[in-house]
Amino acid sequence: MDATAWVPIRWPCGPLEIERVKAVPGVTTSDVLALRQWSEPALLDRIAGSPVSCLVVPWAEGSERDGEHQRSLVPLLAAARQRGLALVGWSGEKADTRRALQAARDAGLDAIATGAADAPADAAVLRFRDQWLADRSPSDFVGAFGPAWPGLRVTTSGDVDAETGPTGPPWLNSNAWYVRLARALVQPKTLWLAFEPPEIGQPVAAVSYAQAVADSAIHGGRWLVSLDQRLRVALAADTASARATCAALAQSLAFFEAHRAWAGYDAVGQLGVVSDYAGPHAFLAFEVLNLLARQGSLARIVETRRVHEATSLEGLDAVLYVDAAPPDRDVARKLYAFAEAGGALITPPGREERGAPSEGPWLPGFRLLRHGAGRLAVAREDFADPYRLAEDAQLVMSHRHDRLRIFNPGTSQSHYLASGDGRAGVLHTLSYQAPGARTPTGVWFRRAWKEGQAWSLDGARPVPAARSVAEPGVEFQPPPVSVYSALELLG
Amino acid sequence: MRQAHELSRRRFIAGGAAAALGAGLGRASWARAAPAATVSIAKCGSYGPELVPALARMFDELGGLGRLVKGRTVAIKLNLTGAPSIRLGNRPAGLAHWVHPRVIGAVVHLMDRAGAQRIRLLESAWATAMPLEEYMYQAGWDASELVSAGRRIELENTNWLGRGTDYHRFDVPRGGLLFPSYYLNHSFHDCDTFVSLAKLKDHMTTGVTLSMKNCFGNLPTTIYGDHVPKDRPEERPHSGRGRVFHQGGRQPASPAPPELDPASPRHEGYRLPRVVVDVCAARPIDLAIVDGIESMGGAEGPWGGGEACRPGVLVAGTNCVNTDAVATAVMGYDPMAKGGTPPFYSCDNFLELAEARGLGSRDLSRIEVAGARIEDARFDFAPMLRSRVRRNLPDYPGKPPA
Repeated sequence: MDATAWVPIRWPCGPLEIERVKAVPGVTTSDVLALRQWSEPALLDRIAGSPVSCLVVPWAEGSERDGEHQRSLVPLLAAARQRGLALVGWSGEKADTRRALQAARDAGLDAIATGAADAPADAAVLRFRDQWLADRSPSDFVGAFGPAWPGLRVTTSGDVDAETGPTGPPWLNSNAWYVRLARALVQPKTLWLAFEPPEIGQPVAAVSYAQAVADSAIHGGRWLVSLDQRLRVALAADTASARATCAALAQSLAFFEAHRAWAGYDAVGQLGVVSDYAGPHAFLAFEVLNLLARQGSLARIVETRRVHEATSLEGLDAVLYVDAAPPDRDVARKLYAFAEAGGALITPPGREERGAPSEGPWLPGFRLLRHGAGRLAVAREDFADPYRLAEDAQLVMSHRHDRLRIFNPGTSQSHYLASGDGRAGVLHTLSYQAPGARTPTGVWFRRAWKEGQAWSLDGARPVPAARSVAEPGVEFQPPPVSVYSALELLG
Repeated sequence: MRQAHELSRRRFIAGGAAAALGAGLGRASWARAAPAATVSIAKCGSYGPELVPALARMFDELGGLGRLVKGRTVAIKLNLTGAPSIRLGNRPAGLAHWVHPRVIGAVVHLMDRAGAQRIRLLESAWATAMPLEEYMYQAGWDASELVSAGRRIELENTNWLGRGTDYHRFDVPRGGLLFPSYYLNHSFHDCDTFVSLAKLKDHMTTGVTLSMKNCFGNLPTTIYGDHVPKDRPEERPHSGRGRVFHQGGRQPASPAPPELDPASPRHEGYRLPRVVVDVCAARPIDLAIVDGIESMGGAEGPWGGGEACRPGVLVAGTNCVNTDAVATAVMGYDPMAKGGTPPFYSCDNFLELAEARGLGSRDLSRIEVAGARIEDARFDFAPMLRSRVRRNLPDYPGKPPA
């Protein structure tokens, strides 16, 4: 069993699923009849030719009906196996995982997936963890519950929530930073994110599915694809719009499978965020990462226990030490050595203060001190507000040293990655604007990439991006981003 | 370069004949008495080597910079509207909706040379408290070059308290048109000479931007922002000023006083021109400079559509109303136009309101123009404004100016 290559989809089928659906408000009898078709082998035709290679089926919930449910799936599972699909049974947290695993083996499934904390350590158990990743035990597979559906946050009234974000612009939900964090903390070979489409009173748009795929895939995660209920019903009826949505989803999955190598690139880091990312520090550290990504800062995740590694702070301009608890002596020595060598070290109050006051942008929340060739920024008050901390950390580092600037980004988020040898890079941009005319985008890099070509999800061939010198870097003018664009960088 | 359309008609309207006609039709005595000072126009084709000499000549034509800045603290309100990442197509902001950095550098250099003791560059950076130099870096500017253009150059983001310990209250002389007083960052008070360094461009709400509208940006959104608390200023700015000023949907945070007449029209075409006049009356502009070398027409920023243009002109004067009136004429518009007519399509003419308050004359026949003539410098913005898709604004019914 090798889950690394699986492209998974939730396949809602069998009596357990029908019982669950019946309890959902607003579901009609005809919906239920349509959803019964998902247990029919013929419905597998809907994903024929797509990159989907793994079905995740409901398997056990710890009730008396589990056996009947599992027996009812036999024809579907046989047909799926015949089509070369991997099979995973979803075992609910109340189910007896060992029993579910044995039943899965007996039925020829490749694995079970579960969020149960007491799941046996077995290669055939794909264990999902809570979103805080309290359990850091090493594993080839990590599944994460709880990430949000990517995109513009929508209020209960259906309006785009343009006001609750402290930044003024609409608030974007994105899990890309979280994929990076999960990979950094647990270092799995395979990372799946389980999140569901929102209930918005109408079928979720094809572009939203494309965004959901891309948001997870940019840093090497995989969304455990899950279709909204209206789409499931429509797909059973084989409507043209359902087929179109599925085709767009398949296209997005195919694109990222074709460019899987990019997922092995490293996020370009300029600001190291040092924390143990655990216990009382987890919330602030997680949120700071989230907000740094949102404001376009280039952050590198550095777990405190890895600070001693030779390359942990290499190439950074600044380090933010987030945790209220002081670092141990060795870590502190390395952090202050980083500042002494020319970097900026940002710490909560109470940390060692050395050197004379430093000049620089006026930041009332910090005492700025010269330290060797670099600077210390010691906060005057405890770190509490992650929004402010993310903003201040960026300012201490200064936009003067930006490595990337994006002009006319619209409502989008970008992720800048480079290959290990630094000879290739990619800038992923995910737009969350409604489809329509787009403003030309300019992308400035401090690194003088020689060539850039833009990929879109629907483009078989990349489009060369115009390049000009804009000292002290270069600027590319890729085509406007419709939903997603990758600017591949060379040289 | 774009050729003026309907030139003959506009020349007639904006030229002395129209002004004479206006006077002949019995303009009020306050209009005839409003101050009129020299306005200088210079044709300047680029931001290259010709820029500094052009500005130097203009300042000489205004009586010399020394009398305005020597031994003084000078505050210069820049026109850096909108977020630094926004561009008109792929044009850098300085070639469209922001005042160009070389104009700032040239002005700073000349003021420094004229003996300014200290020069502060001000702008209320959009929705942020970040230092102004950081804001500039984000646009791709090297702020350190501006700082090194003189001996004692400081930058301050005036969208919040900044380096001050308190906001300063500016009362509007003779009472305001919309608010009786305004609370601003300390830098507007802690200066001897106040300069508005603006861009020559249209404005979707007030018709034209220029030096007076530029000062709408003096107002800190920690007090006048959309989501500030009622009882105190917000610590940091997070939003725009739409609810307080454009829509009139809420009052500013305390200690700023509420507006004078809560029953007045909630139409931005009524409100914004009055705020502009109030602010310019409360914190008078000592020197107005308008960068029209390269700009955009149709809107004040890329968010409104619009297109790039190269008027190749600079305008400056010591009276902001006179200066903006001349600049309006240079744009091919009539500074005497009534609200509801171009370029004041859906608003009152703030120049008219300002003139009525005695801030300065908009009557071209009373304003001495030095340097290039208006008709020689004219660059017609009207086609750009007309071609822009109009926003879905209700027509402003018009109301006699106060």
